[in-house]
Amino acid sequence: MHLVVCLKQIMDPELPPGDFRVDTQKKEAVRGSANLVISVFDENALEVALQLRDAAGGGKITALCVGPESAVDALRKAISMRADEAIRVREEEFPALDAYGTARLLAAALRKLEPADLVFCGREAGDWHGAIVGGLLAGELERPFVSLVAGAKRAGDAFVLRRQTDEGWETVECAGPAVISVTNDDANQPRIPKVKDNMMAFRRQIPAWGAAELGVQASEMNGPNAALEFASLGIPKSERQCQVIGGESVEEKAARLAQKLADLHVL
Amino acid sequence: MKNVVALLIVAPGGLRRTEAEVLSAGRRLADGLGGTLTAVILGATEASWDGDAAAYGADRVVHVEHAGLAEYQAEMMVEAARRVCAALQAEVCLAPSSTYGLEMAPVLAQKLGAAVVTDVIGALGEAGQVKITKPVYGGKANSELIARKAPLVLVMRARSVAVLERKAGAAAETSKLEVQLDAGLAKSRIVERKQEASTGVRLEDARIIISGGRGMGGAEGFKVLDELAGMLGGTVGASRAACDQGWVPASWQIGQTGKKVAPELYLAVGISGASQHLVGISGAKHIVAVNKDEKAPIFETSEAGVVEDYRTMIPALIEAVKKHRAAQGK
Amino acid sequence: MTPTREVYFNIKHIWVMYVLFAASLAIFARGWYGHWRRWRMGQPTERTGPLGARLGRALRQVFSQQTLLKRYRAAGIFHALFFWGFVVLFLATTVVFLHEDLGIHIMQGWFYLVFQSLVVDLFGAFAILGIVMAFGHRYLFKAKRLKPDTRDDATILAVILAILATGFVIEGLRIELTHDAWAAWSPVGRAVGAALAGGLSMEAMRGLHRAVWWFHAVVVFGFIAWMPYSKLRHLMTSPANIYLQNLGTRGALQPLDLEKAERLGVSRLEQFTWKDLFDLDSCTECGRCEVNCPAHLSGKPLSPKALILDLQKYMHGMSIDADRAAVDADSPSPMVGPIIHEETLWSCTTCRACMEQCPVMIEQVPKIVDMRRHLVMERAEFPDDLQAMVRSLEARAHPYPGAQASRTDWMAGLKLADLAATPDAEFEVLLWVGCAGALNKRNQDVTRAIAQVLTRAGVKFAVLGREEKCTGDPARRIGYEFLFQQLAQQNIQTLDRFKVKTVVAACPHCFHCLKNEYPQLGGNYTVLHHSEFLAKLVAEGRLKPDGGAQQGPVTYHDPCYLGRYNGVYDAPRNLLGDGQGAPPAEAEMSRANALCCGGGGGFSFMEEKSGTRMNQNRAKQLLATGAETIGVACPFCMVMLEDGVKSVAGEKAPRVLDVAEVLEQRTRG
Repeated sequence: MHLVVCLKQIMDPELPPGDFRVDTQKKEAVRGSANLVISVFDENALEVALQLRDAAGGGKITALCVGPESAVDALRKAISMRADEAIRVREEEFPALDAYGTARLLAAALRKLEPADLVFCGREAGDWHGAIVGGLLAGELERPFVSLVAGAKRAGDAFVLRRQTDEGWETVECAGPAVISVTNDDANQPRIPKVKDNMMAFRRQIPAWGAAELGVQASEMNGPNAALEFASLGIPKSERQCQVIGGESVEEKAARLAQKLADLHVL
Repeated sequence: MKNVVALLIVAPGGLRRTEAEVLSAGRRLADGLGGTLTAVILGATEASWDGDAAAYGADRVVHVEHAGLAEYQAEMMVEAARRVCAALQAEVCLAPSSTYGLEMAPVLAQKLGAAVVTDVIGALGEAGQVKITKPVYGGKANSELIARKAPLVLVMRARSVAVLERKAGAAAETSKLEVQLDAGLAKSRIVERKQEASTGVRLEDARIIISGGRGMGGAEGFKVLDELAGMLGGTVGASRAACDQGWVPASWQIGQTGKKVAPELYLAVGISGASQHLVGISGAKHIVAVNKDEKAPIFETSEAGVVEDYRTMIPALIEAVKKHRAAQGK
Repeated sequence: MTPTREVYFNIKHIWVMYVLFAASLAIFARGWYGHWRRWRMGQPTERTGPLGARLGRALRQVFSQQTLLKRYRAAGIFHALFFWGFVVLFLATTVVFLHEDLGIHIMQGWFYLVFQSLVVDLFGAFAILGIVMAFGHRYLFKAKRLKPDTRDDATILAVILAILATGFVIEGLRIELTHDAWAAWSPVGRAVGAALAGGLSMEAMRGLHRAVWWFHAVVVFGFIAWMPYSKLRHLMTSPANIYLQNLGTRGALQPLDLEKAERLGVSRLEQFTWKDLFDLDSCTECGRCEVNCPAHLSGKPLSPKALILDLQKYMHGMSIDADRAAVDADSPSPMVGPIIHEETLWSCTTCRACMEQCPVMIEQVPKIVDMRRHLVMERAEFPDDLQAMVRSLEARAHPYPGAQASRTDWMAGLKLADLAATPDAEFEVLLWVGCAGALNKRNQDVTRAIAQVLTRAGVKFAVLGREEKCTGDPARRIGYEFLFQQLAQQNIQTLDRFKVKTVVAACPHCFHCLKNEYPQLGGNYTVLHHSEFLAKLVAEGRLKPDGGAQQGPVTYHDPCYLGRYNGVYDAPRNLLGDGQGAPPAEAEMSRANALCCGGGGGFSFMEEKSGTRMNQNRAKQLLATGAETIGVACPFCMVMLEDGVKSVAGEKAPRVLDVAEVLEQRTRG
């Protein structure tokens, strides 16, 4: 069983709002003192893959990332969590990639790898929240796509996927090979690596593939999303005024809050 | 771009807010572009949906019927949607903000060769182009995109669209479209469905939501929220931190990556108010916060707030509500 | 005639005694040999030299009994009574040995009268008094810390009493039978003899003397033989353990060489150092650790005493043969889990109260951290809350998951610039704000107060702002040495880059880490806690506080990492003022005995899942002083105690203020 987990390295999404700045010219967030981390849902995806492999008693996990040189850290993190292999696709060779371009590069890398039984993505990246690369990738590979998966089991050649819906949960049986996107759940909280795995990962060389290795033309990767004009990026202002409900005692505060709720016609 | 299509996936019962939002957004877009809105209904026939689609502004209603669409099946749905979009020469296609709509959107776009944007809070048609507003960086920033080329697939953010007033009796040209789908397309099937709503109504439809966060400190804390929700006829929700801790099911999660809600009252308890959470409640009419940290950012977004530990505050509030109701003779 | 006495008066077949003695020594030696072999399983560590310094210190501490007398005075006194009694009786026996067996005739003349008779007689009586008190303490007043009573506890006291009592019976009968001319020098013995002589014939006394003499001998030899097999072993191991005490920096955890270590932390007994194993056999089961442990007092599954005794029992149950390795090899960790439960290890706040109280200097906290190191680094199994904290430390270098504030928010409106903005600024001291002081809303106020007071005193100070990272203290205390070293090395680089010489830390945990643990990694700075630095400014006249009338009556809570760990007790108290010039009221358990607020060792980032709340327990003690202001000097204590005080006292709760906030109020004029 070969499982491939697609990871994205992003600017720490928990950067406090006070430290968050955007460059309105470049139309991107200013990194400043923020760290680079693996996009959270991608870590959930990796965890689901690890659990699937551990439950199956074997198999190989490859972490795959389209990213700059710094993304090596994200892939090493995946190795420290006990992914078996990691490949970086050199994003620097493909400037201004759109979501299609990313999906096509991932597809190209997947074709070069040992055939994957299941490909994992996070439900969306924690920076642009596109939530589309997984579906586009499935389309490129002509594989079924199941979104918002929280847990996966193997059943013969198929996979039994527990996925979140608007109402609750669904169990979906999906023939492999397939592409899934993973959402967070208390059952797929990413594990903390053991220190020896951390140290082993730190020394690991991560192979990087570019256009030549993938046999693609850098200029031909982008798709229809590249035609969207990125007009602006800005920080919205919030100007709500909060009425602080005070009181001498908790009971008094509670009574005033109850009155406030009555005034709002919700009691 | 003039030809706007709203995809609706039939579910048992009447047309719901999710579909009303797709139609409302589509109507506005079609108006801005000076075009027409076609409601494409995928799935089993639910007669009431025709009138409802028209009532929310569809110019035309197209039923796509096929035995394989009776229930949602991703590959069949996408293929049916692809065919109908091609047949209608859809230029802008709006998918619903449900799990299924979000799942279909990128796959459909890929097959149509369309640009695709999800989690859109504003889609403005103007002079043949669509101006798209999409929050990014966990709601800390907004991006503006302009689409000039068709086709375009959009998914609006749930509860971010003001639903148009329902025009009862509005009529629309209704037609059926037969599609031939190969049963072999289906690569997956749903073997089990499980509802896991929190107390009361669905979060998305709830009028009152009492929500707990990291400050609850454990699963026990939610019991008292449950009690309050029971009294107020509300539904209990949670922030991601509380769900990730396993205190409550993940399906209770509200925020960027959880439910998007639009209640009359959102009572945030022990929620600090990270931007990723605020994203999910931007549609709430009144936000009230209880937090023991007076400087918690949630207060900046709330119209009223109490600085107090929920452990003492919520039981006191339950008593106060009882007293208030007794005084009102309810 | 030279004063002396016949050693074996009325006794025949003395050889029997030598045989018995030899046998008891053989059993004694065999027992100790077993212990020695067990200790040798442990890993090497240097704890034996320098001989002179260690010996001097140990003799002073052992013979003064100071570690027992500083608290629980009654118990200390009775222990001192029989300790000194036994020392003197042991010397007396040595005198007999020299006199009789080696033929060095010293048991005569004035020495015989003053020492061998009078002193021995009196100390024997003291020892009996001590034993009687010990019985009363254990069985009459039922001291809680001595629970549970075992059969051994009773037997030991009974045996000691029997030895002492029979000693006096023998002496008294000898005095009567020999009409001892120097009987007056043995007042207790003479009294016992006189009492017995009243109803007995000479013959009966003779027989009784002989019988009791042999009984005494047998009990003494039994006592010796039993020593290594019972709690009595502490007669030898406790003083030795005091000799072997840690002379290094107090409270600094041993660093691990992460590159070279074969394993991280301790999962098997033999992975402890030999000194750790020696600790286990030094325990006297006095329970001082237990009744001062905030975890135990709040009903958590941790008692430092039980921890040590469980490990001891486990060690004693081991056969040190090849087959043990085979049995243990089946389990990844035969000790952590089955013997010492994970919840026990995760109940420790590392407050060091146990180590402060232990009269024989057992080191509980490092053992707990060693086992945590195994859980965290080898198994990666630890509580979810702490995992969230670790993730935050890794991604954001602060331990507050979900924090919305940035490290410079507290500076708003203060006209300050961090070093990142003004890298060439000259400064006297670096103010180390700490994550709590920067990111926790309440503690931001404290940081602002410190900055304001420093400005008032005209101190040129700098802050690192966004360049500051967590010192790594929370990581280190939960056993994540790897993460601690990463963070520490990054901070050391930053501090060195800005050529920092003097650091004023606004958090005792940062303070301890920077001061006592960074040198292990090559970071050497003069480090002061803000209370120390501010007290110095006051002493130098750079700040002139008023009386502090607005505080009303004050009390002060000692943070563990400032007090017990670093001995800073007076500086923070000196910053408090109640307007009357009175010193702060002392709560039950204060200074070195202060009860932990429950915020250390990772607990500031963890929910307490069992028992009562540690912060409320401490709050009750502080509230009992009737103070209107509770002074603290630690951001964790601030959060814990504000919450605890409000929970206990409700709306009428007194203010909880950092000593810097009080000083800020006192220097406004």
